Amino acid sequence: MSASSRAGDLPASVTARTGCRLGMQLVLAYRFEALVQLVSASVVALLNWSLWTAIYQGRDQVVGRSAAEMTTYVVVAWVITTFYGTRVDQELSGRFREGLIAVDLLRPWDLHLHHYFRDLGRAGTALLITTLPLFAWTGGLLHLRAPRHWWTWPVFGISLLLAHAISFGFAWLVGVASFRLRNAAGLAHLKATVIGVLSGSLIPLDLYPGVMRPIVLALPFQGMSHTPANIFTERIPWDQVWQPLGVQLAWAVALFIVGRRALRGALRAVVVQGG
Amino acid sequence: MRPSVRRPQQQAFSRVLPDIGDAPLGASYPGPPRSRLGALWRYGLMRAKVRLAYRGDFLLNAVGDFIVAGIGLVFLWAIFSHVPDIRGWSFHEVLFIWGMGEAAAGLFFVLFQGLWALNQQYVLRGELDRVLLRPLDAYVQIMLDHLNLEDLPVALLGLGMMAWAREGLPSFSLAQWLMLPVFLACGVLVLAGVLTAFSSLGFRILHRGTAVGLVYQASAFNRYPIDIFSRPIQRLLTWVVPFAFVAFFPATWYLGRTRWLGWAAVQPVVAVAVFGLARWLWGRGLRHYRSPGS
Repeated sequence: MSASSRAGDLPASVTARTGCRLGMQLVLAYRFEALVQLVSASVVALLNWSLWTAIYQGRDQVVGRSAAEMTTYVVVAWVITTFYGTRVDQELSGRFREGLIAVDLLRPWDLHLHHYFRDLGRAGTALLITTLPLFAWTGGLLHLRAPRHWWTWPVFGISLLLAHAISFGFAWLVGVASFRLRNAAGLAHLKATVIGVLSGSLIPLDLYPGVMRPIVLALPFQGMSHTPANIFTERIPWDQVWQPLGVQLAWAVALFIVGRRALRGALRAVVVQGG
Repeated sequence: MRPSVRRPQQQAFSRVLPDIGDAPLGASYPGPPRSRLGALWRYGLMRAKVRLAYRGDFLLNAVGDFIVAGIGLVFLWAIFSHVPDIRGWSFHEVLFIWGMGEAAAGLFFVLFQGLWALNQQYVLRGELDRVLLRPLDAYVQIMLDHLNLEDLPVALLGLGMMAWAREGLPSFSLAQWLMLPVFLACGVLVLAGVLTAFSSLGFRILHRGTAVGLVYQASAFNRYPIDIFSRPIQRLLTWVVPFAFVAFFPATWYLGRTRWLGWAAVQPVVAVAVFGLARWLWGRGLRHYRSPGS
């Protein structure tokens, strides 16, 4: 079965609409999980904020960042993980494990696009009920530095959307890999680790020492937290902001194409496990 | 004499069951356990065998958990490559506290992973019925069901971090060496106690989700010197969810800091009290259990 568009598939606009709606409904159906995410992201944001506030005691600057910029970075970088953090890899491997992938392939839409839009719907709903409330309380209580220019907001928005696309693209590859490995639990662990270390969600990536810095900055994961948070803290000047956005876009597109290829290849070798 | 009508049925079974030759079915059974402890040992061994059956998965999980734990090291390394200290705490001091917290967390995950499964698997799905039918403590059975040997390397990583930190610390006295395992074990008990208390809510509030992971998240604070945090957080970590007793208070004794010596001294008492109270709460909660009947 081919993963690219097939005759008889619904048009992409319908795939987008139904996918987004399903994603939203799934978040709303699991409200408790959303609440858990809200509280747990708050705890981590508070921890990182406290830590960096302590580090700046008696210091004005650490690697060229002021205390206000650094605390804003670590809080924003973590808060946005609630937006782009996807579980499509676990969903995909779950569908596969239960043999339901066979049913999914019969549906009249493109599996890859459907899941992308479904996760976009998930992210949009999470934005409203988790990410924005987090922004509100951390911004108010932790004295974060709001962007000075109005245009930072729309640019930050675009960067977030691209961050989500990169996150989805990577998670999709992990999910497809589980087709062959038959089990994704260990792989999911590794994915969480890779994102924790390489996305910049805990610490700005330019703080990594020596040999690690150029490597982590060259990988796609920096587009997940590092780039959006640096745009939010206005570390990148206005006339250069297209560069990190372009890098994000390039990675998002590359991961999208590789993801389609990978799915096609995996489906050729797929063994549907009976129920 | 056997009635001959049973023959076809037996043949059908022999096709499903593995061939065990002429040995009677119970030949490898060593007889009933002689003591309660023996029964627990055998139960735990059986569960460990079940987990080890999926060798590849086991290894991937072990490696994954190990690397997740290693993130902390990268994080500390990155911070301390730019600043010499955090409010007067050196790299080696923070590393020692972190290592102690990591070791306690690793052992905790080996033994108490079952706390996570209580709500959904045992209360909502009713697997507690099966557990309650056996003449062994329900709590211990659930913990043994989820014995998680994969996280032993995490505990070792924590010990490794402590060993590395020693190069920047005063040398330990004999008493300090002797107390180290006690503090570690009691640190595990504090973690287990707090989370057992929260998991017992699952008997009353019927919900798929559980607050255990959430409360555990707060234990990330115990990897740092407590006085870098604001007063309310310090009080929270000492009195409400006493995670400061897991690693920080005992660790200060090894760092040669005297301010928290009293807290370190009472750590074992606090640990036993917290765990005892939590187990009592858990037992009370268990009375509220109603089988879903499925």
